[in-house]
Amino acid sequence: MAMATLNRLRWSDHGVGLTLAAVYLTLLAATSADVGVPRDESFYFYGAERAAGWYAGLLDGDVRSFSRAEIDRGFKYNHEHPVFMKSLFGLSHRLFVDVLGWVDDHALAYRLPTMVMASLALWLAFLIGVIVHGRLAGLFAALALAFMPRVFFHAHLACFDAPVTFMWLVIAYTYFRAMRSRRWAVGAGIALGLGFATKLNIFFLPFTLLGVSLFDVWQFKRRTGAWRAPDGERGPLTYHSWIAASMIFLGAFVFWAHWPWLYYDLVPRLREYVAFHARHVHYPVDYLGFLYFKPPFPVHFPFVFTLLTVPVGILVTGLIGLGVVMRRGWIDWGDVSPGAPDRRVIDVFLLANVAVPILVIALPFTPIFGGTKHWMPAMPFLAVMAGVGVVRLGQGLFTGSTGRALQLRTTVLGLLMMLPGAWATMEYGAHGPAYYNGVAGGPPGAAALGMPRNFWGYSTVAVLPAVNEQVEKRGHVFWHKATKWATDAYQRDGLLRKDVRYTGDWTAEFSDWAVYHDQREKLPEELDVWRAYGTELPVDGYFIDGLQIMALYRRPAPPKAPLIPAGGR
Amino acid sequence: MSRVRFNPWWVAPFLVVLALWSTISYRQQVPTRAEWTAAADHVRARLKAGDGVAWAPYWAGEARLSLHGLPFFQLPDVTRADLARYDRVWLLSAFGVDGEDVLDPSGAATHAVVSSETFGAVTVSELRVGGERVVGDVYAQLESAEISLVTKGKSRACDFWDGRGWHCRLRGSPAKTRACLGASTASKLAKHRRFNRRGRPRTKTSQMAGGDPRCGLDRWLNVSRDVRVIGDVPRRCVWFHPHGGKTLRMAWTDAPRGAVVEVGHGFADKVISDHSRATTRTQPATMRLYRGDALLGTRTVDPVKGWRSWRVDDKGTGALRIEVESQSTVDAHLCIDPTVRAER
Repeated sequence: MAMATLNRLRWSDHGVGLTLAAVYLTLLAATSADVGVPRDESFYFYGAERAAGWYAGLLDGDVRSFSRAEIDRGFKYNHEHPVFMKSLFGLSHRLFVDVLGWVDDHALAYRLPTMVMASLALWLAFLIGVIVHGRLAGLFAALALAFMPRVFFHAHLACFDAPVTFMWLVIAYTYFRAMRSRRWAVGAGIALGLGFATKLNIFFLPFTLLGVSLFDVWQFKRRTGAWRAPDGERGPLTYHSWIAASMIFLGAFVFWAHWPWLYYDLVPRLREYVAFHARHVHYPVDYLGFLYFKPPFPVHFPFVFTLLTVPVGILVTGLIGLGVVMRRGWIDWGDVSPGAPDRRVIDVFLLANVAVPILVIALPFTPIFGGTKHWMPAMPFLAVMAGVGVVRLGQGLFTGSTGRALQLRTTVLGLLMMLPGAWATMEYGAHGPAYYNGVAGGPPGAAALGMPRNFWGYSTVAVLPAVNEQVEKRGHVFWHKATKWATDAYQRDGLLRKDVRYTGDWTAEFSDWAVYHDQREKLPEELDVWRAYGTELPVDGYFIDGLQIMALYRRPAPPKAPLIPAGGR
Repeated sequence: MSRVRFNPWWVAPFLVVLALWSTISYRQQVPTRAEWTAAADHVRARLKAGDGVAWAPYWAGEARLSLHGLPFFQLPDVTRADLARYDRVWLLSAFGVDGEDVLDPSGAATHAVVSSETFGAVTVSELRVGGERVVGDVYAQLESAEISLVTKGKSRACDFWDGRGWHCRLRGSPAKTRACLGASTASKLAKHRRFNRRGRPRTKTSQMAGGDPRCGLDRWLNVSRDVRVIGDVPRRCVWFHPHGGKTLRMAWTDAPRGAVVEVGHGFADKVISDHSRATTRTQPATMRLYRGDALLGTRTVDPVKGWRSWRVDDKGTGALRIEVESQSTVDAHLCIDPTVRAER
């Protein structure tokens, strides 16, 4: 049984999707140096090197690589996250810098796996769009995903958020194909294993897909009166059983196999891994003028953030697409005749994948630090909805047109709807967390609403020219949220003068220059600089639309022995 | 005649056009750095004693780059501005904010916008400040205050001045401490690297070498000119950290007489609300205010978030004295801003 009302893919569709992905990859690589190294990314650079070192040992044919000591050496660092991506980052660096010498930008070499995955996400979004609503929908799904400034920002980083977004999409896509194909069930199992190997957010996806599977099976029962297909045929129950078996056994095996850390002390180490995330500390969250330090967090947090951070053209078409899919699902719901279209399962699949990542974050006790990146797996599906929405909008507006004329008009309309998002991506993408759309009134409007605009040290790169120009030779700089490894990375790539020195965390008072990352919960740390330097004014900085993203402070005068006031000693 | 029917699908592109208009509109309101500088230069050329300078909205941080050398102050909320320290205030503003926003709608403060000029997207408003005036300011004149710590009736002077405030306890001699404070940043950093974050020496050797990067001064228990996040915004205030079970006293003999003594006060947000502990560890503090030997008033400062104002009629003669007590030293991050005020 096939998904009767869905479009079949042609090879040319893959060609278009991959071309879009290639263009996006080029854009990401070209803008890599504009995107700074956040704290976590600097940790992953280091973790990547350790992992790559272990793999290098394997290539040497050294059986000692599997010893506990060697595995611990390679994977103990940062073992709160699996190593699939860190391994890819490290191997990419070794391959493109050390072996082939094709890339001289070290950070870019680490980042390439993320960029490739983020680009392939466009390809998959395109394919899903084509399957569910035609080529035009696919095209605009890919463009919508490309033109989300915050997604564009994360698509650069050697971190896990863009990769897990891609893996969510891969798992969903393979599952979607496996709904009526046994071969694809194998792919779904492997994909789930790799998804878990990427980041723990994937934990929520199997439950989402289980819901879709139950719905599919139930729909079959509603239509045919039986749970199972007649002898000689395969029904949803059979397909979903294969998917489940593949995901459980193959998925678990892939997850275990990818992570040598689990080769010893499997249960305690697995327990430690789960416990770390289950009891993750709550970092402060700045939202609508209020700093949240502990739960309960506001339920509307991810909805309001999405409303304010997705370009309006994409948001509007996405909502139209959402409406189309929901309406279609509702109409199909009433039709239980044996010949009824079975696309309603796909509609449920799409809706579930848009909703679940957002709903999980909406739960009041889910840690919500990090803002939009934590529900980024919903974005490719929102983009697919936007693709559907563009097509429906064209049909609604150009009622007199049909065929090619309608397609042409819809394409122009869609491009116009996407254009502001494209501009915003180019203008704000390198500092994605500072981007807010026209609903918020842009970054200034968001500032007035009390929304955050900076996150954990990524934007350091923007003040490096000022540091290079102004700091004296061998000057002592307090780098605030930028780690030593981040400044090392800048120095290695020639973005920061090699003689500039790093004073360490919490060392404003022992520095002559201070870089401050504007983040509301860190305000007391900016005041530490004021106190230490005796000035409240920066000498330079990086500003977006007049808002401070980074401040650069200089100690106005060297320390001197204090004068003794009357009555003092 | 056929009627033209509205096609509701046009709402979608209309919303995008609206958002585009919003984007163009806010982008036009963004001042350039040169415009902030031109506005600041305008003020600089007209500056006189008693002037204050602020910028608004507070989040328009790029303005700060141009304020070097000006008597600026932090103005996080223009609608609740306390301008009593100044005779005239220059407000550099953008994004639809201007001097009119500072005026109290009730007219109680009787400020007035005297002039207004624009420099591109920046407006410079000259405000004549009305209402009461600060005639005595502890923050500005902290050097002339006498600080002491009273334990069971015995008073100990806190008389070491570190350049920012008064300290009660020294580990070394005043001369050595002063020399240490004057040491280069590099030398202090080197000492710091031998210490861990709690200020304890990593090794006995560094302890014996007297390698404290903070020169043996207590970073918490002192009375200093400071700036702290209280009520979500930076407040300039005098750090007045109570010592559990003791009385911290400030006597200001030069304090002028006024109509009222106002003590702005609050605990730092970090110990009250901006932490992930279940509850705050800060205990209430009791403030007493004296003029000479006469008690003007007593106030309990509860450990709640925010900046509050305590006003007492200024009666009697003699030194102005403030005493603070708390049962616990833990997280007693109190900051105060005492001023004597009179009619303008």
